[in-house]
Amino acid sequence: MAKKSKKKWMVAVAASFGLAVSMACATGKAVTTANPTTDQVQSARVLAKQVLAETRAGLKVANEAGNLVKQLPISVAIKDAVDCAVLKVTGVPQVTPVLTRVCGDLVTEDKAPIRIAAQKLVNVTACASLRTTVAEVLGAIDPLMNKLKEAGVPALSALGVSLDAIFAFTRQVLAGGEPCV
Amino acid sequence: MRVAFDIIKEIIRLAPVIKGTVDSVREALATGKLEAVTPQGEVLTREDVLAEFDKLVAVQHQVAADRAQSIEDRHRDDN
Repeated sequence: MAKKSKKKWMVAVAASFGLAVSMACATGKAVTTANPTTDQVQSARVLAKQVLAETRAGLKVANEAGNLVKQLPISVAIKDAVDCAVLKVTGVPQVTPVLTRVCGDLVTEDKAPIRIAAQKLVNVTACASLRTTVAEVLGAIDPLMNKLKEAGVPALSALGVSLDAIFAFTRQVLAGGEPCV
Repeated sequence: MRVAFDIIKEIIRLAPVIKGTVDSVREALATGKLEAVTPQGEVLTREDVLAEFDKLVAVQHQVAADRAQSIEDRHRDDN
């Protein structure tokens, strides 16, 4: 009887541990080093700051693409497609009926994927969490780059290639090509 | 023998203090109060990264406002 009770207790402990591990993974805590060293924190911060700077430069280029589109004698459909692709990345100041009709579902700026990823970058203390977050940044930007490159308008394709080039360092970080301790 | 015993006794006495200090350093690192230094001597605080984030947010807002306005202008008279 005592043996059975001990076994039950062990199973309960194992199950609790499994649940705790699953929850940690689900909340993303598993990729964060619990007690990072000074070098790890510093290394991750240096890279995070540079990725944030590249992202800012990338958004400026995206806005220039939008301004250029506005002036070009091209179809309204392409103009809308480019503006909407940018807004999918940045979110909108306020969701309006017109924006929803033209672009489909949009989120406000504070819920935009790029903002959420950038917020995580501020708090990274380890390379593993940095790379996970960098993947999120590129995941948010890539559809916009593709939209520009495939718009069929040479000027926009060129901006798409420029945007891609701006994120060269960020892609290096993701690929592990930048030193991160 | 007596000296060894005294040393062990002293270590045991100081253990909570040492642990407290280590915990404080860890907490300070995690919250950004204690900053790391690169081998090149460059110090990058959490506030430095936060400042870069704030610049990004300002640009994000400007781009979002510009592009949204552009669509609104084009489709104002649709209906």
